[in-house]
Amino acid sequence: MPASIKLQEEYGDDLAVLFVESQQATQADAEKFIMRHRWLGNQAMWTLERPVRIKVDGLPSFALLSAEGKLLSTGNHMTSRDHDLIKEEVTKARSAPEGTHKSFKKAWREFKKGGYAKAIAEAKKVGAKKEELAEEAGETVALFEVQIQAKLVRANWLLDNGYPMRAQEMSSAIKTGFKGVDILPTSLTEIEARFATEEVKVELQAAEKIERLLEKVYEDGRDEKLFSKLEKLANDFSGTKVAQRANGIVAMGR
Amino acid sequence: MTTFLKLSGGLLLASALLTSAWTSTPVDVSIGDEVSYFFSKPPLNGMGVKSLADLRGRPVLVELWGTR
Repeated sequence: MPASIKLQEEYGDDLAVLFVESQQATQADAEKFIMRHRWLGNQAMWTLERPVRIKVDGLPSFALLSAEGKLLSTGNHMTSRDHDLIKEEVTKARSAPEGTHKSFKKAWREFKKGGYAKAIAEAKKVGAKKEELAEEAGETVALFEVQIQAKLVRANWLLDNGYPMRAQEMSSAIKTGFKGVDILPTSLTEIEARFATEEVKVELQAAEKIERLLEKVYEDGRDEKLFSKLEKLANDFSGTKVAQRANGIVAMGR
Repeated sequence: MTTFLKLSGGLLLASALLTSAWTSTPVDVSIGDEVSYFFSKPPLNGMGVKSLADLRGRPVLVELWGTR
């Protein structure tokens, strides 16, 4: 297993890992290769498109980007300094952005913990207390709201593309962040309403069964018996997004 | 909270417009350069990721590898 997958599993959501096939394989061949090596089932992403050209010859090679999208390091193999850089970036990403006035640190801490309503209230409180910080308070609240909105857009995407359980986890976490608040963001109430529909309830039933089997497929690699079981389940829940995704995995593995 | 959608919607639209202007052609980069890229086909297992900008807020490790 590539070391970068282990790193991704170690850091979870805090690190994005993108593998780029760079020997002109076709999409189908690359997918079969990944499946055969049991490299799916984690959060690492795979593409044939090279998003960056670096001055490093040979494979494997890597490019490490900061949380702000700047190139930090390149090479063929990662050194202990690269590992330190990842740690530093993860720590930075968990804190308030650089240049934030110290009065807003508490609000950012709360936001990063998922306490969205408290974070917004705290930033507004600082702005109301200190006139000279009113503008920064407004900007901070706007930043929080944009990031929450982006999470809700992502949850809707997950729901629309056959990942209803992940969408529900994300939506529930956001709702928890607004605990005790009477008026919730419109897009949060909208996604919550979607989970109450029959259509999404069926998607969730399908996901509960199919996800369990998918985990086995990811663990066992290409296994015809598992593919047949997966196909049968997809057929039982025909018409759902989850079944569509399961069929896609079968097609990819065969 | 009443300004929530108006504000975030406007900012997201601006972000989408900026993103659409980004390149789908990789460029040579050096240490310290900002990297932007818009995928013509979303990465496998990307959960809706369409560009490097979608990954902002956490470090990104890009690994070039080969199947042969």
